[in-house]
Amino acid sequence: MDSCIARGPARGLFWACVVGILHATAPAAAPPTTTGERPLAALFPAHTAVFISMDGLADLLRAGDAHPAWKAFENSALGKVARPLLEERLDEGLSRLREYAGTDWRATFSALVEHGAALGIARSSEQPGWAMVLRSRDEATLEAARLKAFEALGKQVGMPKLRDLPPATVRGARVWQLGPDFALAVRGDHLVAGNVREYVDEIVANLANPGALGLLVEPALAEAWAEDGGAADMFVWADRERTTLYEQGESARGELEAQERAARDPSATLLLGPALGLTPAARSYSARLSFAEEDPRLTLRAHEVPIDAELLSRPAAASRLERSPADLLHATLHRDFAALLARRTTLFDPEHLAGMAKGISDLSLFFMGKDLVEEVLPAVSSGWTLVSRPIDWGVVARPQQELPAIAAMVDLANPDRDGPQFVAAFQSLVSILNVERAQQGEDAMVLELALEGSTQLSCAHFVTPPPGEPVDMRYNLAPAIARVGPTLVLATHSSLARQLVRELAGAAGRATTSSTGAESADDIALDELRLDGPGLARVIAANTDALVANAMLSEGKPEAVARQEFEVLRLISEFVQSARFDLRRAGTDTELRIELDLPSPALGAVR
Amino acid sequence: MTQALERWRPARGEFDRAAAAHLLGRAGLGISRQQLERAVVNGLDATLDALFEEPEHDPTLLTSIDLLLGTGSIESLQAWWMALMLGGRAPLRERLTLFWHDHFATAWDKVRDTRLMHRQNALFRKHGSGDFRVLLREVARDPAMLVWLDGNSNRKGHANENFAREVMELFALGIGNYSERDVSEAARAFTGWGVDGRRFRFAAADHDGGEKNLFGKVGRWDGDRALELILAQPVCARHVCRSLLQEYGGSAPTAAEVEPLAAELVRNDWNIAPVLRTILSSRWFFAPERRACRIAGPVELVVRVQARLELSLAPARAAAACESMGQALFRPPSVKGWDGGRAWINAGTWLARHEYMVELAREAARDERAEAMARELASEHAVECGSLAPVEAMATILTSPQFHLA
Amino acid sequence: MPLTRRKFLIAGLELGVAGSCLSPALAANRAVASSSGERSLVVLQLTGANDGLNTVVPHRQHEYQRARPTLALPASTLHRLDDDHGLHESAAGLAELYAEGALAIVHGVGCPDPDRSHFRSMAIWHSAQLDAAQAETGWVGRLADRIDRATETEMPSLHIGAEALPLAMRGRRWFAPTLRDPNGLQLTSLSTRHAECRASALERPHSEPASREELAFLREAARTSYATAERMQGLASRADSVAYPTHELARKLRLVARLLGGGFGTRVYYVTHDGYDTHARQAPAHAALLSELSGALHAFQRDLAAMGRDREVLVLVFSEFGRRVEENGSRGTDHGAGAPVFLVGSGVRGGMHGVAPDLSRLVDGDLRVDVDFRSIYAAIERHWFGVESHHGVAPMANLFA
Repeated sequence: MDSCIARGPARGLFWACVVGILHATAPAAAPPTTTGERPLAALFPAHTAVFISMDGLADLLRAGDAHPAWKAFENSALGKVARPLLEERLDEGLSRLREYAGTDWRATFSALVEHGAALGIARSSEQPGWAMVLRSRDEATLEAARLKAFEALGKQVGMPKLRDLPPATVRGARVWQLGPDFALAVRGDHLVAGNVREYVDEIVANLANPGALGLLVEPALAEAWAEDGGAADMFVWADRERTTLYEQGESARGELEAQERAARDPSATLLLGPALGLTPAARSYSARLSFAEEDPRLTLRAHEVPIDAELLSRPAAASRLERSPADLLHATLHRDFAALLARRTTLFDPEHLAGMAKGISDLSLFFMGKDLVEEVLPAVSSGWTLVSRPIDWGVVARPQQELPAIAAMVDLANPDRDGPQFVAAFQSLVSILNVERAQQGEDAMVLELALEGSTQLSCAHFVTPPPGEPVDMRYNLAPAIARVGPTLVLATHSSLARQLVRELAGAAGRATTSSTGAESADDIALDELRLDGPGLARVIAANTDALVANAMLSEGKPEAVARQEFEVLRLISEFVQSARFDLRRAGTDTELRIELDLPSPALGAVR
Repeated sequence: MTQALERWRPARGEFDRAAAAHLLGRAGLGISRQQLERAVVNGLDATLDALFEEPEHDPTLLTSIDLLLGTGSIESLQAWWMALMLGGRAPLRERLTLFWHDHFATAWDKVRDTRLMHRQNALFRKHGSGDFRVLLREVARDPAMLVWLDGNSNRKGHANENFAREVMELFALGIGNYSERDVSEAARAFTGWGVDGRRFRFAAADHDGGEKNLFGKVGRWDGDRALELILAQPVCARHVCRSLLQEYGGSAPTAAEVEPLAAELVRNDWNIAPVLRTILSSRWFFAPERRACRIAGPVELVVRVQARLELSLAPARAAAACESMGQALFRPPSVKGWDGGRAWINAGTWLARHEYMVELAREAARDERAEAMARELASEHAVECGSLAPVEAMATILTSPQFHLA
Repeated sequence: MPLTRRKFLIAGLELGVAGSCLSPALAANRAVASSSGERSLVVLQLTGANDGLNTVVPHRQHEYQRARPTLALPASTLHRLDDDHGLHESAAGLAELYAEGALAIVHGVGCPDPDRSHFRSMAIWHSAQLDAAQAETGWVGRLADRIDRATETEMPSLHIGAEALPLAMRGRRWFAPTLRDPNGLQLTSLSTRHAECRASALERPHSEPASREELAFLREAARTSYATAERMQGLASRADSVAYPTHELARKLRLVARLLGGGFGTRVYYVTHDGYDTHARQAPAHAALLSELSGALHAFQRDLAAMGRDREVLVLVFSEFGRRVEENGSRGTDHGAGAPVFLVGSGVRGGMHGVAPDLSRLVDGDLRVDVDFRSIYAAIERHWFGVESHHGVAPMANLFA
C-alpha cells in the first residue's frame, strides 16, 4: 500500500498524480441505505448554486436510438444534416465510456443511474466545485462497476493495483481521493463524485443522515418535487446570487448589482412586460424538461420575482382573432403601459427618468399635447394582440428582400371618442418623419386614405419606384392604421392591415377566445406567443442569400460556412412545427412554459 | 523610354525581396509572404505581367453586395469594398480603384444613395486602367457625381459652376491652369446635364446652346465637346501623370519626370495601364529614396497587415477601423479627397491606429506560429522586443512608426 | 532640421477631415503647467432653444399667468432670485450659485434680427455673423486661434461630445478636436513591458535615409499622442472630491474639471446639452433638463472650488433663441426670440444684467432682444481673456468682478 503511494504515478491522463489518503482503515460494512423515496436534492448541501437532476436518464439510455424523440429527429431533414456532425463529437465521448465501462456501456450506465442521477455546483472552500450523485440499481451493481472503472483507470495511470486502493471511511461511506481534484465516495447503492473534497463530504454527510433536507429547504425545489415527484426527465435549478458568485466569489458582487439594475431598465419592462422584464432580479430559476411524451415540453420558472402585485392584477389578455394558418407569429400580450408609466418614479432608476420624460414629451407631440400617461394610454386596454404574416404583394412592387409584416391590435375603452386621435397621431408621425427624410435628401412617404369594406384606413407608402429600378428593402414598410369597432389595428404594411380589418369585421359579435390554462388569483395567464416554424423557415430561405452576404461582409465568414449555418437555422425552424410560449404568474413566481411541436415519430412511444 | 523614367533592368539577384516587396506593396495594397517569394523567383517582368493580367475577384463576393444595396446601408457597401481589397485577388485593380476614388472624390454624405455610390465604384473598377478620356467622360455623366457637384441643377441662365470648376481644378487640369472665364463657359456647356431617378439624362430645354469661348476656342460647345477641349489642353495629360507619379512613387515628381510620361500617355491613346507599367518598371520607382518613404493610409495599412500576418479580418470591422483612422470609404471629407501623407496623422488618428493594431496583435497571437512571425517582423522592421510575449511583441511592432511607412 | 512642436501642430491642421480627431498636443515629458491666473472658458450650448421665461420667471407679472394657463410656474415653487424673479424649482443648484454670487443672468439676449430657424439661428450664434450662410469659422475657434498666439498653449480648445464639431469651434489656424468619450482617450497597454517597449521603439536610431524625416514626424506624433492620452487618463481617473450626477452632461463637465484642475493646458471647452425643443408637454421634460443642467453645473463649480480654480473658469450657458410667451395648444411653447444667458463662475459679477423681461412690451408676442449676443462674446474676449475683439459691438460692461 505505502509503496504504491510512495512510487506515485508515472503518466496520467486526467489525474496528474494519485495521492493516497490518510490511513488505511478497513472499510466498515456500511448499513444498507434507505434511500428509495428521498429526492436527490435532499443530499446536496443548502449552499449549492446549481442543481441538475435527470431522473429519466436510465430510460433514455436504455431506449437509446429507439426513443421516439430521437427517431423523429433522425428522420427529419434537420437530423439528416446534423446527425453526422453530432456523431463525430459523440464518438470521442463514447469511446471513452467504453474504456471505463466495457462494451455494454449502455446497460452498465443505465443500471448505475437507474434510480436517479444528479449534479450539483457550488462554491466550496473558496473554490468553484461540482459533484454528482448516482443512485444505482443496487449495491452489487455499483461495486462491480466501480472495480471495473478503477481497473481501467489504474491501467491508464500505470497503477495496476489501483482497484485495491484502500479508501477512507467517512460517515459510513468509502471515500477515495484520486488526485487533488477528484474524490469518489460509495455508500450502498449511491455513488458520489466531485472535484472539491469538502463538497463531496457534505453530500456524504447528508446521505448518512436520513432526516437531512439539503436543498429541499429551497421552496422552489420542494414544490417541484411535491408537484410531479420527479416526473420531469430533467430538472435544473439555479440560485442567482450563488451562481453569479460561483467563479470568483465576492469580487463578482458588482455583477450581481448589474443584474438587478438590468431588471430596472425601463425598455425591458415596457417591451417584455414586468413579469419577464424583472426576471433578472428573481431569486432563483428552475427549468423542467420532459420528453417522455410525444412533444417535448420545457417549463422555465423565475422564482420570487419582485413584481408589484398591483401591476398584474388585471385579467388576462384575450386574443382579438383566432389564429390563422398564415400567421408566422401570433401573440396575446398583457401590457398595462398606463399603469407602468404612472408608477415610473418608483419602478425605474432616476437616471432613466429624464430620458423617459423627454420621450413622453416627444410622443405627446403627436397627440396634440395630451398627457400621454394620464390621458392617452389609459384609453387603450391592456390586452394587445400581435400578428405577423408574409406580405401579400398583389400588384405592389416587390422588394428584393421580402420581410414579413407585423401588426398590433388593441381595444379602445371609448372607441368613438378616442379612435380619431390615434389616427391623427399616425398621420402626424408620418408627416414629421417625412420632414426629417427630406432634410436628409431621402424620399418621403405618401399619406392616403383607403377603404376596406366599410372601414377607413390611413395608409402611408413610398412612391413606387420607376420600372427597371430595383425595389429597395424599405418598401417592406407601408404602415397603416384602422379602427374596426372597438379595435385599433396598426400594421407595418397595409396589406396586412386590410386582411385583419376583413377578419375583424367578420368576427364582430363572435366571442373572443380566452387564454388557456386554469386561472385563480394566484395563477394568472399573462402573455402567449405562438411561432410557426415552417413559416419562419420559409422567411429564412427567402432571405438566405442576403443573410449570407451580410455574414460574409460583417464577419468575414467564408460563403460555405455562412450558408451551412443558415441552413441549419432554417432546418431547426422547419423541424419545430410550432413553438408555444406561455407566460404565467403564479404567486411571486413567473413561469414561462415552452412547448415545441415536433414532427410525429415514425414509431410509437417507448413506454 | 525617356531618361527620367528609364527602364530598370535588374541583374541577377538585384530584384531581391526588398525590391519585390516595394513593387508589390505599391502596385497593390498588401503582400503575403508567398506572393513575395514567388515574385523574387519570377523576376521583375514576370511579376509585372502577373499584376497587369487583370485577374478576377471572387464572383460571389463581387455580387454579394447586390442584395444588400437595398438596405441603403453605407456600412455594408464599405464592408464590401474592404472585403474585395482584403480578398487580395486583384491588387493592382483595387489600388487603382482606390486612387480614382480619391481623385474623383465623391461622398455618400451628400449623395445619400448606396446604389449610386456602388455604380460609381464599379465605373472606376471597369475603366480605371483603360482610356482616361473614357473614364473622364463616364465620371462626368455619373449620377453620383452629378448629385455631388450640383451638376443636377445646372440650367440655362442659372449655370451652377461647381461641377465645371472641380472638373478643371481637381480632375483634369490642376489649379491655375484655366481662367475663371473658362469655368463659367464650361458651366454653360454642361447645362442640361442631370439625373432622373438614378439615370443620367440630358434636358435639351435646360441647355444653353449659345456660343462659348473655352480656352480661346469659340463654338456652340456642349458638355462632351467641353470635355474634349479640356483633354486637349497639354496640361491635362501632365496633371494625370503627376497624380499617378505622386501616388505610386510616393513623392512629388519633377517636371523632368512628368513631361515625358505625359507624352507617353497621349501616345498610348490615354491608356493608363501602359503608363502605370512604365512607372512601376522604372529606375526612378525603385530608387532608395522612393522606398518606404511615405506614411501609409489607413486602408493600405489594414490590407498590408492582414496579408503580412495572414489574418482573416472581418471586413465590416476593418472598414470601421479605417473610418476611425480617418479614411471612411465612400465618404471622403471633400471633393479634394484625402490629403494623405502627414495629414493622416494626428493624436486622434494615431491612437486609433494604435488601438486597432493592438486588437490585431491579439488576434495574430492566437496563431501557433505567432512567436516565429513576431521574430520575423521584429527583424524586418528593426524593433527590439526581446523578452516580450508574442502578443506584446506584435503590438509593439505594429504600432512602431516604421511599420507605418510604406 | 528638428521638428518643432509648431510644425506638428500645423501638420495636424492640414487634415481636412470633418470627423474630428484630437490634434497633436503635449511634448512628451514637458509638464504642462497652466500657470494659475490663466483663465479658461467652457461654452455650454443648450440645444433646441431653452424656455428662458420658465427658467428665470418674472412671476409678479400677471401677464405670465395669463399667457401660460397650464405652464405658468407658481411663485411658491420657485427659488427666489430677487423680488420679481424666481428660478425654476428644479434648478436648486443654480439658485445656490446665484446666492453665492457665482451666477450672472443676462436678460434679453438674442440676435438683433431674430431668426426662428434652429439651424440658421444657431449658425448665427456660432459664427457671430448675422449673415451666417457662408460662415466657415466660429467665434470660439477664432478665439482659440488668438489665445494660442498669445500664450503658447498646447491644445487651445477641445470639444467633448458625440456630435460633429460645431461651427463655433472652427478656427483658421487651429483644428479643434472632438472627444467622444467623456472618460478620456483610449490607450491600451497590454503590460508594463509592452508600454516600455512601445516607448523605446520610438527612441532607437533608424538608418534608412529616405524616411528619416517622415519617421521623425511619426515618432513625435506617437510620443505626443501617448503622452496626451496617458495624461488625460490619469486626470480622468482621479477620485472625485465632489459627487457628480451620473448623466452625460455631468460626466462631460467632470472631465473638463479634471483637465482644468490637472493643468492639462486646454483653456477653451465646448459641450452641448440637448433636448430643449419643447413644443408639447413642456413641463416634465423641461424640469428634467433643468435638473440635469443645474446639478451638473453645481457639481462642476464645487469641484473647481475644491481645486482652487473656481476664479479662473467661466461657463457660458446659451441657447439659440428663447420661446414664445404664450403657450401653444399642446401644453408646450414654440420658437421665440429673447432669452437669458447664464455666466457661471466665481470670477463673474453675480446678479442680474441686461434688461429684465417685460411682458407688457413684447415684440410680436416675443420677449424683446435688448442685448446683442455679440456684446457678451466681446466682453468675454476683452474683459475675461484680455484679447482683442472684433465683433463690431461694444463689450457688455460689468460682467466680471
